[in-house]
Amino acid sequence: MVAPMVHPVLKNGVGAFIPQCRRLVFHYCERSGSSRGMIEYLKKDLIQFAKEHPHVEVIVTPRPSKHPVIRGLYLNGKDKVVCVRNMEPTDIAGKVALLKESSGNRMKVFKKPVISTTESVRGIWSPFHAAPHKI
Amino acid sequence: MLRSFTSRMVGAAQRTNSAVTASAVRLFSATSTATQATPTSSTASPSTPSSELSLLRNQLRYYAVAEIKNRPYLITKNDIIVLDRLKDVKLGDVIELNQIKELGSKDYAIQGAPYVSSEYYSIKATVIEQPKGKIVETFKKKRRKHFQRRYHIKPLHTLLRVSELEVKA
Repeated sequence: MVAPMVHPVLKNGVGAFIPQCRRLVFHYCERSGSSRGMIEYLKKDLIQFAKEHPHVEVIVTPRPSKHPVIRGLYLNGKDKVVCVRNMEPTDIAGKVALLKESSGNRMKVFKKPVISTTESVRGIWSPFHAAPHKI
Repeated sequence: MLRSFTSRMVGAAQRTNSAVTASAVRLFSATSTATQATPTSSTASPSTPSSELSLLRNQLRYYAVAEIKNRPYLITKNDIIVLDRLKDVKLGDVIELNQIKELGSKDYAIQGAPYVSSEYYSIKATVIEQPKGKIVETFKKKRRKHFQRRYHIKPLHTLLRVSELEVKA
């Protein structure tokens, strides 16, 4: 009988920190006007970004007759796609930073300030094990 | 959540004592010229910081109430803290938290006045992610007054993972 698969409990940041963004793919069109800012970004800023982040694989591919797009691939296998049509290089740099700093998880509403999987340290209150109420 | 009463009954004798002492919080002032507050418990223990700390250190798990940007966060090790975006921080940076209002365990807690002295603990957090949250819509309406507004925010966050939470001897 085969033993069941044991999945490790991942706590990124506790022992070592591993950045979640694995790959960024830049698509642009050489002819269309919506790619103008993208082409400028690829010429000016991309190489500097790639040097500063050696853990990210950077791929640049023409995608003719389509809007320029940045696709980020993450360690959990999911990807995030951002269309950067008609954007200036500074705005594109902002979008790249956004993709680089995310994990592959969906955008969600954070309702609580602390996300925890540890049990409560002081235990759940029980009326049988607490000091009696005094008036 | 299923509560196991048997295990609780075994520890009940110890816990009734500790139910009294758990509410006894020893107050430490942050300044060096601190005067010890009178302990409210019935146990007679010497009131020096090292003996208080050794009481705490004999326990298994700790929590801390950390103050980050004037907001309290009750944290244990391996927790994720969700903050508003910190501008001067990069992915992978390790932040040492030194504004700790309370440091405690199952039976004892040290309350700072206003903060616990940083000689007693070592608490570190790593920046793991700086995501954008989901769109939050605020809708305001005054009926019969032809007034309504929709505001959309997409909040920016910084996620910190508490990588270390230790009580020093």
